[in-house]
Amino acid sequence: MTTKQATPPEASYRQPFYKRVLGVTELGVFAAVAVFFVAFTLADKSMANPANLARMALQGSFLGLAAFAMSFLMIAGEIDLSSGGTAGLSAAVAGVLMMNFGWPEWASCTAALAAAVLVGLLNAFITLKVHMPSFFATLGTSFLVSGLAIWILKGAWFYVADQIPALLKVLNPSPLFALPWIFIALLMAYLVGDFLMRTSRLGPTLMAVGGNRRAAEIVGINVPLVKTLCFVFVSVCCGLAGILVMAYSGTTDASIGDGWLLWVIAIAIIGGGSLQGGTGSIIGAFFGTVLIQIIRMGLLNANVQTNAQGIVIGVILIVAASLDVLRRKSIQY
Amino acid sequence: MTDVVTNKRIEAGAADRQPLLEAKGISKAFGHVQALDNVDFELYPAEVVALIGDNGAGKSTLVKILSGIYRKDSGQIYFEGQPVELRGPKDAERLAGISTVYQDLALVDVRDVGSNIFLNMESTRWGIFINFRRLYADARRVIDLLKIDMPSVRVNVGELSGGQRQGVAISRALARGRRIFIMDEPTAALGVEQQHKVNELIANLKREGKTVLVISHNLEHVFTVADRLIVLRRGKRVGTRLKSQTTKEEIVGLITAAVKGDVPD
Ligand SMILES: Nc1ncnc2c1ncn2[C@@H]1O[C@H](COP(=O)(O)OP(=O)(O)O)[C@@H](O)[C@H]1O
Ligand SMILES: [Mg+2]
Repeated sequence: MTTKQATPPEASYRQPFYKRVLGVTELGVFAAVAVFFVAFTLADKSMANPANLARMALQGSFLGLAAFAMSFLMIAGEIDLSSGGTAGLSAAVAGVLMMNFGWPEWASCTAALAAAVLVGLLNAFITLKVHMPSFFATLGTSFLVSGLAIWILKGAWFYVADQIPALLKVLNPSPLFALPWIFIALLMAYLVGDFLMRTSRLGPTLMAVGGNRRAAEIVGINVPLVKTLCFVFVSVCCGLAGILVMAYSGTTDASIGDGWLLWVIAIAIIGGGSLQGGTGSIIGAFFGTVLIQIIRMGLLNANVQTNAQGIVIGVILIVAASLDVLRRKSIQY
Repeated sequence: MTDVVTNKRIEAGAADRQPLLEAKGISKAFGHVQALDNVDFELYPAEVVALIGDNGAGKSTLVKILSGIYRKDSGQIYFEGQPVELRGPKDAERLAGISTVYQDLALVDVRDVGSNIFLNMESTRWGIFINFRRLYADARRVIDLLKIDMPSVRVNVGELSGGQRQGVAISRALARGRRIFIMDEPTAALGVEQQHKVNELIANLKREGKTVLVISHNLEHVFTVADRLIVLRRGKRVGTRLKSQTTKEEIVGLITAAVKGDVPD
């Protein structure tokens, strides 16, 4: 603001090199992917074989889809703990409509996604109209939708594999390295989503809504609308993921989304997301998904017990989050 | 009304000009507290007005009515001579070009200066992609207009000093074509050097033809930046002085009722 000293021309200004490197949100997770992949491959050659990679791509796509949507919602400053429950509910709705009511595949899936939309609207309503933090609001709906799924299925499980030719095609290998179509589609979604966050008004809008709600309101952004759309988007993606898991396993039971929640949040945070909102990375969540999948598969190949997997992932999550705090501090914001 | 007489002297120089914003007979009560009692108020183009008074005098209440946050009990507000009804902050911004720079400044710390200034009004290519080159060039222009010391408009706002942040908040309002800038205690949280920067910022806004209304406890600050001082005491406008025609002693007297006001208490 001083008039005495001339402002240096914009072009001559450059962030110091270390800041530009550390400013890359996805730096840590990308490095971790590389390190773990190399380490597990050295330990067991089968890690890098194409069939194994294709299988990992398929298995990782379900959580990856949920985490994709969750990273938008978390940037907008909210969280959805009902992701697994919504996946289970959608699968239950689709299964019951197909098997008990004889609905065709497309109609059952559409109805299942409509149910997911309702869950998203309910989450948005409780958070934005009742003014309850989304952490608690969605914890409540999480129990609600899980209970609904169990109630709809009445304890039964359905064998649906014969009824879902179209869904199964999505899981088939594509000509591209035999990677499944669902993975190709998800990768495209991540790339487009990340690109739009960087280049379109989507990025500034979501970051303002999550980073400083008052700032967003002052400039006329419809904050409740933006958040509602994010909630619904998460629910729909989780519902879709639930239907796809149903197709993958060939059966519907109420436990389809059990245990998803923590994985999805872990992926979004490892990928650069923050529980405070405002920051995060879409493509980071993709690397987060890849990392989790590599670690799970690597530990499985190494015959590490499932509960020990939890320990390893827990340590990685804590280290990742701590390193991220340090990284942010070192570039001061 | 009595203060019409006393205002003659004050407004002698401005008599030929129409006020940009005018409020007549504004009253507002909270329960049995009469926060504002039949207050007249006017802002002219390109002037800096300081609104001063003791704690509880009604300054914040008046400002909140002008920025659409509180509804007045009675009275009328005019913008460029036309009556306006301010039902919310959006009305104040759109109908009367009033932008209030809040103490918390409400900036998005994780976005850069340019993105904050043009938030939600980014120009796009094909309606989708932000034209960042243009955004940063325009941001640079606004920043330079106000002579804000800012090495780059690509720095995240979270890294800026208090004075720079204030500059970004004001640039954001300026970019939206606002003409009246209300600043409630703009220097309260700032060090001496940053206070100087805010003073320069206010002077530069005036030079750009904008009107600034400053609320401040700091008489030193008020006497540096303001052209005109309006004193409130217990909900009444007790005095209006051109800075060039008054002294700190007189103003302190008006605030504390040691000097008899222009209207009876
Ligand atoms: N929202 C409110 N509810 C009740 N009383 C209020 C409210 N706002 C202000 N007041 C009262 O109105 C009077 C004027 O307050 P205010 O406008 O904040 O004064 P100032 O900003 O000059 O210190 C005070 O007596 C204050 O207690
Ligand atoms: Mg006040």
